[in-house]
Amino acid sequence: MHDDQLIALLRAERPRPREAFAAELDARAAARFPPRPRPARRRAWTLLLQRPLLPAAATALAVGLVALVVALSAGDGPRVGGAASAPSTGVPSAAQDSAGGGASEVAPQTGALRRSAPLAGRFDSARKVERSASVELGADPARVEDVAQAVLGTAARFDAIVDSSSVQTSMDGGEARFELRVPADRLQPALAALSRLPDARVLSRSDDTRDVNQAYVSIRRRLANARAERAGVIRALANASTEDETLRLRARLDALERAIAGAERAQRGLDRRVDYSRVSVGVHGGAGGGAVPAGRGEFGIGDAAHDALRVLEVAAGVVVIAAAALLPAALLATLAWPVVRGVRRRRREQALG
Amino acid sequence: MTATSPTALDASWERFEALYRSSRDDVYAYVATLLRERAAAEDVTALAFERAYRKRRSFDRARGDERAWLFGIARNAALDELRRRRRHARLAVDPKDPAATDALASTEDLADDALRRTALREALERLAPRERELVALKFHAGLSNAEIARVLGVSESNAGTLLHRTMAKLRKACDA
Repeated sequence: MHDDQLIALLRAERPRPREAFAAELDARAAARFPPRPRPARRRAWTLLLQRPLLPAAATALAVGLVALVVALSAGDGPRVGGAASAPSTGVPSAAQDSAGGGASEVAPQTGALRRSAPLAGRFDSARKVERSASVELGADPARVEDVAQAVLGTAARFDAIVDSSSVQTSMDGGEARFELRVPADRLQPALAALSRLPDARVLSRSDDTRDVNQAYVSIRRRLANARAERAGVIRALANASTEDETLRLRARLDALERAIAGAERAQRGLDRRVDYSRVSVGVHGGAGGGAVPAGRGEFGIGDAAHDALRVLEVAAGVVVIAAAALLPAALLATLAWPVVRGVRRRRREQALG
Repeated sequence: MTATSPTALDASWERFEALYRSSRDDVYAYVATLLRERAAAEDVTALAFERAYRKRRSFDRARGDERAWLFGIARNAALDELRRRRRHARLAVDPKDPAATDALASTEDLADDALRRTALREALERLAPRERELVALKFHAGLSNAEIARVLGVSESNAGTLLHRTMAKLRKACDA
């Protein structure tokens, strides 16, 4: 068979539309293809059935975004409030931790701290971080005592320990100071509550965060070494054959016991400082310190502007986080798009095979 | 925000209408060959034109000509229909289709032609589905090799080679 004959036969095999269908389609075309009514719900279900990967992909994307946001938020944690140090808190530095100096200051609170044992376990999997804060409040001279009571009430509400407190009132002013230790996991709510005390306004506030993980690891290592050596000395003592050797080993054993006790004290002290955050609260009355404007408590233009600014800050933060999360997702989607198109084309063409 | 002027809309519609007039029967022929069922072919043809009409502003001339773009839409719609029905396409024309048989009515009095036609249909049946699709695009829809390449997502030379091989296979089967 010649090519011409073959082509002519093939063309003759060409299907032709029915005249009625052609006329109907022409009419629809003339009307510019008006949309045919379809039940929306059925269409959505049809879409889901035709594209079963759509909901899965959407879910995966949403989970990824949430995980990314959570990861970003968690990464920010240790940096919160870490910029400023509060000189009034007197928190010992990490270098002092290994000296076991915390033992003397914790003796009165042993019972309270024992209750925090589960709290300590909560931080085992994370880095050891010691937090402290300072809040200076201003109050009307006549209200210093009320504010002081409110500070104590807040401390009780958050299970805080009051290390020291002093309240001085006079006609022209007054001052109160508190040294608190607040459970670390309740520090932020407690600070927020202290900042919102009635009849007081925040004059200054500072947060301080120190990473004491290195000191913690060092104490643990020292403790483990000492315990291991003690076991060895005990074994050697059992096998000692001369009196001199026995005396020498006993002396070494005593020294090790003291070292172990010291390291254990240091560890407990560090645990306490990690589990409980020091908060120094000052209440200042009088013209200079108080500076509480008349009519305090009423919501004014300044408060509104401050709130509005805060809302804008939070909104901007959300936008930045969302952008940070969406940018890599968009990049991935752009890179994956040709692959998706290829896969779709291949899936369609499977109908031919 | 830019507004599309009525003149631009009219121009867009006129261009689409011209495409519709020149391609209606070709699209139907191609889709009917793929689906092998008249009712489904009519639905899919109408759907393809509707989709093309809705997407007409997204057509990018730099990526190929309008006919190739239209046949790409028709192909996707037809393949979606095939997938939906879970049946494979057999590209030979349905012998029960009166429209197809009418086309050859004038030549049925010749016994040789009838034999050749029968041989051709059997040969078409034996072709792989993708080869039959090539035949449909070339001889039923009347697309050029460049347009076929665009529709199938292959290079033009590749489309020509595939078509040449398919024709050789078809000729051999018809002569056997």
